[in-house]
Amino acid sequence: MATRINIDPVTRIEGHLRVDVEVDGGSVSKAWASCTMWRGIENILLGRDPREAWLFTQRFCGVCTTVHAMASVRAVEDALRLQIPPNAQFIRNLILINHALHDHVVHFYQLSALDWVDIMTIPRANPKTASSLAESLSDWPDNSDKQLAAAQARVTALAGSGQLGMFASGYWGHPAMHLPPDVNLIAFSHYLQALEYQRKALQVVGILGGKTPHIQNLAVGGVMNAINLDSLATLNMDRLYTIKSLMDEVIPFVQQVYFNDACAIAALYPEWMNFGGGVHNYLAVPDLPLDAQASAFDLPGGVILDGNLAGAHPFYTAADTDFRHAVTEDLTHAWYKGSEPQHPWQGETQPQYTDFEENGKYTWVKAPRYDGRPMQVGPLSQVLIGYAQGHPLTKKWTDLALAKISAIGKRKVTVNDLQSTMGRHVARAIRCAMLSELAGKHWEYLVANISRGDTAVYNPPKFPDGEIEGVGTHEAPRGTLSHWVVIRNGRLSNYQAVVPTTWNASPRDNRGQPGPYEMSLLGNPIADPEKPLEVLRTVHSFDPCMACACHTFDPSGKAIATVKVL
Amino acid sequence: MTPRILVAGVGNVLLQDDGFGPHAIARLEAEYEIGDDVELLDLGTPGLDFVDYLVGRDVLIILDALSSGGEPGEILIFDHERLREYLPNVRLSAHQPCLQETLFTAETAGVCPPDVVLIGVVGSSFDVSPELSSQISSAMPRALDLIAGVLRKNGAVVHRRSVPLPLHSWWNPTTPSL
Repeated sequence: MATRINIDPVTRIEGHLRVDVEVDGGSVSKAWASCTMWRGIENILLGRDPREAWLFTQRFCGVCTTVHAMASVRAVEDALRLQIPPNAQFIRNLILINHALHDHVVHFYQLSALDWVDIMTIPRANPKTASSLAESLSDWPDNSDKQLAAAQARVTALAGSGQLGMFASGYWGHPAMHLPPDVNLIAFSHYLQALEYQRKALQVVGILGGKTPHIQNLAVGGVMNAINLDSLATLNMDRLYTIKSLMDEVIPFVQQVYFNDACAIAALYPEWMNFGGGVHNYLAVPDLPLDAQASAFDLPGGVILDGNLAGAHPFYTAADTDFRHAVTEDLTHAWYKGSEPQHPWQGETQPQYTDFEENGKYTWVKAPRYDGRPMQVGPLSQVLIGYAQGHPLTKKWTDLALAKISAIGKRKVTVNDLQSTMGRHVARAIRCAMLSELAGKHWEYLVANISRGDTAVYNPPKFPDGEIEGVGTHEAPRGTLSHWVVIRNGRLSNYQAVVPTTWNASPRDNRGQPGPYEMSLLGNPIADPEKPLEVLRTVHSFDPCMACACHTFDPSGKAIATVKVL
Repeated sequence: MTPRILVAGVGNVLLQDDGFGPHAIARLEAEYEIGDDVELLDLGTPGLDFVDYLVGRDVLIILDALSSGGEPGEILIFDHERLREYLPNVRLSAHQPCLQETLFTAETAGVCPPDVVLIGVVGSSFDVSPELSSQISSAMPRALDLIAGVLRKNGAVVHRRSVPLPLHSWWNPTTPSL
């Protein structure tokens, strides 16, 4: 007998992600991913000045502010064939790197660790043995038994006070949770420390961007950071060294704590390298351009089809010709008018709401396709594509991760095992470690360029009469982001954002092909339909972020997960 | 030095009344002279990174839109205890960690400001537009007055400017082009 589980956590106005699964014989047999909020914000841009678009797009989403700002200015620059000065590239890169360091750390510790870490076992841990274990895995200085005992005391106090708050609703004691109490304690201690380090990465974004969470320094044509090494009011040596010292604190946390924790958890949950692969087509765009022409990049991009790493196809520019032509959005199962796949430059966003119809329209997310195929995006895509191309930095950190996981788990793990739920977490940690190395490198590029006497940051845009088209891409923390613009006589006449979560949370298309979330849930074991922890593990591994957020606080909102026997 | 009082406007300015918080921040900046122990921040629609802005504060005043609980334009105040009562359950996306989870995470980490208050205005329309509905617009002066009162009660120096500064709101269609 099949069981239907509906996880629709919000009855509030902001409604986001809803997941429906059918469970048959203890594992998922069918899955639907649905976004319960309309993402028609692009329409607000029509008729506006393209130079202002980024101010609006960075409000699409409260978590991914910076990335939408960046993709927007890049899209307009692409339409104008406008290059930006090297200083502007490096300043933007440093903002993007630090934004991603913050985002990846937050995702691992704050948003997904508690899927794997049962904090209710922590009172039973032994800080002394936990400390020895942690010190055998990493050189991080803050793993002493004293520090672990303090973290343990916090959990014990919370449990004792009955003020469990968020933790009260966790799936504690679930049969799929099986880390030893000592490991849970180490992870919880790092969860507390992460709050301190993620904030430092955010401070770097704030110094360069003028403000967080909404940066102020962008412009179509470059950045608005005046550079004068001797002036107090501009980007001077003092500020550059403040940035450096903040990054010097974040980098070791990423490399010695986050990277190791992700490897250890992967090693101790080996079964999760067998589930959740889903769609084995991968897409990533190159990013972190190294010159004004954006002719070389520090992060590789390309396409892998059907999990065939040997046949990976690289991209050499930020919006490769193939990419420009291959992307379409299908509306067959989305709450919009129209059914033929549309290229984003021709894309329309006209709502046609029907209610949730599992064989008809069931989501506000369109179905992006690449040459008609569903694609998985995110750190895993970028890591696999870089690894397949022999990209040195990707290979270095991936091989290190595979060796660590194999050593801790006493079982040989290969790059192919990363095509799984756990693989997405490991790949995110690999990418974060890569970015932490690149943080220092791009800081040096910026300082070296300024030291040569180059203080240019901006090339003014000129808008021609008639119609021009452009696409701006960014390999964001959640994967490939692209903004597609059409500009007529200096005003926006179309604007479409194809965001990472649209690729991953895509519904079925006109050929019935499910999207990555839907495919990755198939075959996942479900130990207890009342507590579908396994579904959360797989969905969280993608780092979902439904585009655009409405943040209204609803005093009557109650969350629900319902189970129905079919 | 981190200012000891944070006034955090949360909400999406592109979705009408959801933008009450950021709209209120822009109005406070233009119409009031406020001591430098107070920081006014338009935080948009933060996820758990909200916690990052709470470190080192004594007082947190959250300005937010409400989707229910009264008539449009009605102003409601929630103290920390009342916020605690509305706990979310399962979370799927990075956006869902809402206010209560932010506060709980901050408490767990030992960085939650000792005093927390939410000043909310019940919205009437949440469509795609950067303009507040008429009910919320007319509630705004009362809301600003109330916020100023809460700030004063917490020891901050707050004066209404006789001549307001220009309103810094890039989303307003009357803002001149960049």
